[in-house]
Amino acid sequence: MGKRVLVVDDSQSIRQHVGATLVAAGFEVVEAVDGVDALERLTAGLDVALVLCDVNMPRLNGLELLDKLQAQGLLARVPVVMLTTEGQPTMMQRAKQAGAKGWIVKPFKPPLLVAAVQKLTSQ
Amino acid sequence: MGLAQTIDNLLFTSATGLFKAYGVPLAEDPAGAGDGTGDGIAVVGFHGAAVSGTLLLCVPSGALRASMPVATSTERDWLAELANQMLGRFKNRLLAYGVEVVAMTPTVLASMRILPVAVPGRLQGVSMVTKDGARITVWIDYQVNDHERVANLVRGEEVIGREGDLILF
Repeated sequence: MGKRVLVVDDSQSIRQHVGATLVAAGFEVVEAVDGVDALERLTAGLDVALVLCDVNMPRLNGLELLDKLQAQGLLARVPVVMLTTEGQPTMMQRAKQAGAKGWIVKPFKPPLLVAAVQKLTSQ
Repeated sequence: MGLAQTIDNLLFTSATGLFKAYGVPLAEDPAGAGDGTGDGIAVVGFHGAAVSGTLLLCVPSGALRASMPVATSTERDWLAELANQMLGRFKNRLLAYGVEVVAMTPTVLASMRILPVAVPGRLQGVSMVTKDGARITVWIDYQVNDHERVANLVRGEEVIGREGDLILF
């Protein structure tokens, strides 16, 4: 089994697209439908090599999730990359300060996404 | 360049770029923007200090299915995501003109036909056709909150990288 990646997005289409892309590249994929779902899974001990996380989501958005993970010390053991339609530098800076490792603007290109995930999970 | 012309340009480039990324090349419909005759219509609002409004994306079912990256997506969910990404492209390019807007959550109207009413300075749209002749239309219904700010927009440097590229922190 390959390294496990948590995909957090309120769009089922995006979760399935990212999931299919990463599974084809040998990764195991776990899905969360929003920030609350992701937080519950990670605080319950879900072991993942990387989190790919949307920004705009109901209940708990991606930036708020980063804050919660940072507060619980979880960012020290799992890198988070934002995968979003957002491109504002202020928002990227906010994510960087909150502890995110990177940022990808949708739509993603499958080969580039796989390369990015391979790079980040091998560090 | 005024806001209306800027919106026109950005709507076309954002829509054609987005659908091309999902394997559906589009050409501008010489007949101009039409009504919302798609099988589904996605609606997503946005707001900002200079301009606020709503984007409507109308896509026929066949073209929508052709653009789906995974066959397991539902049409409703995928249309909402396309509208989300369409507005994302639009607003990220609007940033180069110094205008920042924040997007709301998209929703889909599956059983309606939208008949736009042309109001100068309030509503702009563009229709494009697929190679099979399917017509995709994007409308933006907007209101200017700061007329002085958008009276003469000058395009600066792009402030984001290319879609899909990893920006490492």
